[in-house]
Amino acid sequence: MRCAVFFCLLIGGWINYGSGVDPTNFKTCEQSSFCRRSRKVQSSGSKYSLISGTLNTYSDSVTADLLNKENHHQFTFKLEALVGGTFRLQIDEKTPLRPRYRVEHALKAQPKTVTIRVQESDGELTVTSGHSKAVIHGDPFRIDFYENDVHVVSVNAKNWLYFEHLRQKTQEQALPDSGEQQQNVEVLETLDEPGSWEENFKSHHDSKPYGPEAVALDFSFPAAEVLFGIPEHADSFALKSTSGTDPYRLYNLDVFEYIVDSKMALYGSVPVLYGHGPQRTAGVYWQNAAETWVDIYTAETNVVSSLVNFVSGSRKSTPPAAHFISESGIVDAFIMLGPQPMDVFQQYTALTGTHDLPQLFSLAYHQSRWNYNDERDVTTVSAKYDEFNMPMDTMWLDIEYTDGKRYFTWDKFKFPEPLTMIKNLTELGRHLVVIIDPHIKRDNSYFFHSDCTEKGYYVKTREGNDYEGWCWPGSASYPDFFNPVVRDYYASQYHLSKFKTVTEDVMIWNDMNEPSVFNGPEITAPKDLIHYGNWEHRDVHNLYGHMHLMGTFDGLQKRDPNQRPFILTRAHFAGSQRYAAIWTGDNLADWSHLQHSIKMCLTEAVAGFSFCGADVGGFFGNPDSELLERWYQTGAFLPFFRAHAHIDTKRREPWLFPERTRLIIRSALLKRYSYLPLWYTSFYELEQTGAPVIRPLLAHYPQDKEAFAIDSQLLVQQRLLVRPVMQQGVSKVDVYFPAIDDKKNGDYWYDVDTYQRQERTGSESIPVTEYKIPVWQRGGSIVPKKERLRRSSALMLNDPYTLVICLDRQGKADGTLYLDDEKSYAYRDGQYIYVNYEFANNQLTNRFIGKPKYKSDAWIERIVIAGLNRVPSSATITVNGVAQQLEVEQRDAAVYIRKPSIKMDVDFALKLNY
Amino acid sequence: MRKTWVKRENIYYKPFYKDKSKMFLLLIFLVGISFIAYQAFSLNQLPSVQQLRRKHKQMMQSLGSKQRDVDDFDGGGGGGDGAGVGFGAGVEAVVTATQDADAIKIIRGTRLFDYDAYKPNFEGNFKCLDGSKEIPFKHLNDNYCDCEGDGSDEPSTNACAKGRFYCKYQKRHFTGRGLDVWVWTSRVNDNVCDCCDGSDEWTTHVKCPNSCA
Repeated sequence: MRCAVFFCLLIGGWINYGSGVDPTNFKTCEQSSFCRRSRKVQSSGSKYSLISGTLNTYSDSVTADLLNKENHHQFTFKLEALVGGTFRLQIDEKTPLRPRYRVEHALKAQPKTVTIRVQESDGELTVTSGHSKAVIHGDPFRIDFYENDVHVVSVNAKNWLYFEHLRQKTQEQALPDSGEQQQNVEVLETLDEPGSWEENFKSHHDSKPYGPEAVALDFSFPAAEVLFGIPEHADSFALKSTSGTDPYRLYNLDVFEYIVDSKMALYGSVPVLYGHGPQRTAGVYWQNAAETWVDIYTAETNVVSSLVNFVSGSRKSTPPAAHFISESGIVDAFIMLGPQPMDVFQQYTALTGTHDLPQLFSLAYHQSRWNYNDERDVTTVSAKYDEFNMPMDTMWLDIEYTDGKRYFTWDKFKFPEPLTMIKNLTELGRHLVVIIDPHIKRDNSYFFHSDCTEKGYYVKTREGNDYEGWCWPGSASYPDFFNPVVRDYYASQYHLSKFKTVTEDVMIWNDMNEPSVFNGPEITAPKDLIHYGNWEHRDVHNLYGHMHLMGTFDGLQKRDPNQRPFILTRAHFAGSQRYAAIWTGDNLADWSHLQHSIKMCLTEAVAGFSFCGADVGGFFGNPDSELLERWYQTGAFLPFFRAHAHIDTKRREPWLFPERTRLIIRSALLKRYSYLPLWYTSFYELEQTGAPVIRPLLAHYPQDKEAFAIDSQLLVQQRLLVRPVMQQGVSKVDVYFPAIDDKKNGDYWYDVDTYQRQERTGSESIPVTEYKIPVWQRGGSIVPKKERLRRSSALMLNDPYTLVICLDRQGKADGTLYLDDEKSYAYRDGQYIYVNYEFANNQLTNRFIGKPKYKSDAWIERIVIAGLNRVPSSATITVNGVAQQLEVEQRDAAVYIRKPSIKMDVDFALKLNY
Repeated sequence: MRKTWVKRENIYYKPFYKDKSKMFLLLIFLVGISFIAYQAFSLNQLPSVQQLRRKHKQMMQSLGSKQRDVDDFDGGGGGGDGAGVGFGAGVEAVVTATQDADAIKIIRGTRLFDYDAYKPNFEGNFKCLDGSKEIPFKHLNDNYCDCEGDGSDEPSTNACAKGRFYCKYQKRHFTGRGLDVWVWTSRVNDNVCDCCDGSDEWTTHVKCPNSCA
C-alpha cells in the first residue's frame, strides 16, 4: 500500500514534469484569511496613538502604551537604540490572553544597546543616538527615522499598523451568521470574516484554536528609489510593485518545479528588506517566523499621484513602501539606517551573524546527483574526473544511500563498505557529503524512530499524538527540534561512536526541512501542530529548518571540534547563515532558471546568505550541452558551486557530452579553482566584517541609478565584475559598467583573460566565444590566484600564488589575501596570514594585518600587472635588505614578473625598473 | 557437331626459366634470404643483452635516490632556510649535461624518447617540445611554467597545467617496447602516490608503497 502511494506520487510528479508548479497547490493572499484581513487596512487605515503619560525613558530605550482608538485595546511599545545605527521596535499586547510568540535563536546574540538622548516637544519625541535619530509622533502613531538628519525610514506613515489582539472564542463566533447579537465591536469585525477561527484549504482543515492574531505594519523609505531583499523568491533582484497582484510571500515551502518571475513562497524566508536611493540606503528586518506576506509599493506605481505632482510642480512622489503582514507573533522590527548599502548589509549581519569561514573544499566544485547508484558508481565518477584531468572536490549522496530512507543508516547492498569508499575519496583530498533529512521513518525497528516515540521527541498534533505525515520514507514523523533535548539527541547521533559508517570528513546536507510533508497542506506541516513550549506550528513554521540546522551544526562540531562543519540546507530563516550554506532548491534545466540563479543568490547575499548557489545544469529536465556549458561558467562565479540532477534525468557528468563540451566545462572548473584564494579571502572577510561576498552593483556604485536593478551581473567583493553568458546561442552580451558618480565617471575594468581595459561606463556589447566567461577585474584591485591545476583543492594547500594587479587611473591598486590551514579552527588562535598588498609609484609592498603566525610552504610564483603605461625592463625585489633582480615579460596587455619566490609571511618590496 | 578430344600433353616442352610464376617465387626466396642475412648482420652490431641490461641499470641509477634529487632541486620558491626567503636558491641548471658519453642521465619525469630534446640547443636554449617557444636553458625545470602549450619545460614539477610526468618505473621489455607509464604533472608532489613506485612524490614526505609488481 505504502509503495503504491509512493508510486502514485512519483507518477504524479512525472506527469507534471515540464509543466512547472501547479500554483493552485499554494495559497493566494485571498485564500489566506489573515492576509485578506490585514490587507483591508490598506484602504481604510487604522487609528493607533500613544497614550500620553505612559512614556518611560531608559538609558537605551523608551517605552509607552499604545492604544487602538477603534477598539480601545492597549499595547506596549518599545523603541531601543542598538549599536551601529540600528533601532529595534517592539509592539506587543499589554495584557495578552496568552503569551504571543517571540522569535528565538535567529539573532546571533542579544543585540548591544547604546545610550540615547530624548527630547520632547509638542507631541513629538526625539530619540537620538549618534548620527541616528527617531522622531516619534504620538497621534497618529508614527516614527520617522533620520540618518544624519536625512529622513530614511518611516514606520506606520501610511497608518497600516494592524494588530489582532487575542480574544476568547464564543459560541456565536463559531457560527458566523448569528454575529449580529454581539455587542462587542471588535468581535464583530472579525466575525465578518470567515476563516478567523478555522480555515480550510483544499482538503486540509486548520483548526485555529486561538483565532485571529495577525500583525502588520508598514515601512516607508523616503530616500529610496528601489526596494530589494526578502528572499527567497524566484524573482528579480529589485522588488516589483504588488498592487494588483499577490504580495510577496514568506513561508518555507517545498515547491515542486517552481516557476520564475513569481512572488510565490519558496524554501526559505528571510524577512529583511532594503530601500536604496542614490544618497541613502536603509533596511528593515521584520523578525517574525510565522507566515508572512509583504506588499510592495514602488515609487512610480501611483500614476495619479505622479500626475498630481507633475501638475503641482512638486518633485516629491510617494516614497516606496513595504507592508509586512504576519499571521501571528508580535511586531519586532529592526530599523537599520545605513547610510550606504554596505553599511546596512553589515548592520544586518551584526544582528543575525554570518557564515563562519568555511573549509576551503566547500568553496570548490561539488559533484552531486540523485543518486549515485552504488559504491562503484561513486568511485568511477571520482576516477573519471582524474582521467580527464578535471578538478573535483566533493561527491554527494542523495537519499538513496540510506537503508529505506532511514537516516544514519546505509543501504547494505549498494553501499556495503562506506568506510572504504570514503577512504578512497579522502586519500585524494576529496570529501563526501551525505543527506540527512528531518522526516523520520515510522518503523519500530528503526532506532531513531523508537527513541523518538519512547521519549516523546516528535512534533505533536492538537490531540497530543505524534504527528504522522508522508514523505520519502512513506509514513514519517518529525522531531521537534525546538526542544533543546531533542536537538541534543539529534546532534549526538552524528558522533562517530553512533554513526560509525562515516568519518569526521563526511559532511552533511539537510534537505526537506521546510518541513516538506507530501500529504500536508501546501506540502508542509499543518499549522495547528504543537511544538515545544506549547507553541503552535503557525508561530514557528519558518524557523523549523533553522532549528534542524542548529542540531546538525552542534552535532558536527561535537563530532570533531577541530574541523569547521559544512552543512547545506534548503529551508532557511534569518540567522541560518551562521550554520549552513544554501542552494536555490529544485530548479529546472532552462535558460530562465540559469538567469535566476544569479538574481536569487544576489538577494540571498544581501540578506546574509553569501554562501549560495544553484544546481548546475538544473535539477529537473535535461540540459543540452550549450546550457550545461553556460551553467558551469555561471556556477563557477557563485559561491556555492555544485552540479546536481533529478533521479529521472539523464546522466550528465561532463565526459558524457562531446569533447568540446567537456573541455569548456574543464576550463570553467579551472577558472573556479584558480580564484579559490579570492573566494577564501572573501569568506574570511565576510566572517570578520559581515560584508557580502557577492554583491549587486549598487553596493559599490550607489549613485548610478541605471545600475540599481541590474541583476544579470554581480560583483565578487569589490574586485571582480561577473556577467556570465546566460542566453542561448549568443555571440555578444551586453555588459553594464557602472559609474561612481552621476557624471558617468567609472572605474577601469580589465578583462581577466586578455587584460584589455574597459574605460567607459555604461552599456557595452562584448563579443563572446563558447569558452568565454565575461569577467573583469576592477582597476585598483589586487586579486590573489592559484593557477596550478590539482585534482582537488586540498592538494593545492602549498601551491604558489599569483598576484594579479590591475591599476586604477592613478596607477595604484591594493587587495588582501588570507590563508590558513583551510580546515581547522586554529585560525581563531591566530594561526593565519592576513596580508594587504599595495601597489603605488611602481612599487609593490605588503603589510600584514595581525601577526602572520601560520607557517605556510606557499610562495608567490608570479605577479601580473595590468595597466602600466610602459613596459619595465626588470624588477627588483628587496627582502631583509637583500635585493634580487627579476625577469619581466610582456604578454597580452599585461606585464608578468617571473618568479619572485617570496614566502607568504615575509615583508618585501618590489620595484619596477625602467 | 561432334566434340573431338585432343591430347595436348606432348605438344611442346616449357623450360623452367620460362615459367613466370616459378621465377617469381624464386625471386622472393632470394630477397628473403638476403634480408635475413642483412638482419643477421645488423643484429650482430646491436649491443648484447648484458650491455642493454647494464645501460638500463645505469639509467635507473641516474634517476637517483629521493634524497639526492631534493638536494639538486629547490622544490618551491622558498628554500628551507628560516628566513623563508627563497629567491636566489633557485635552480641554475638541474640538468647536468652528459659529459660521460656512456652514462645516460635523464631528467626526472621525462622519457628516454625525448632524451635528446632535453639538451641545450646550439644557442644554449631549450625549445619547448611543441616547438612553440624557446626559453633559456636555466628556465628548464625551475618550477615555473614557461612552455604553457605543452608543459614540456617542467617535466619534474607541477608548475604546468598540461604536461606529463613519466614515472621512474616503466613497464617495458628491456628492448624498449611497451607503453609509457605517466601521470599528469599536476599529480607531482601533491601528497598522493600516483606512480606505482611513488616516483611522482619526490619532495613531499609521503611514504609511497611500491606497488609496481
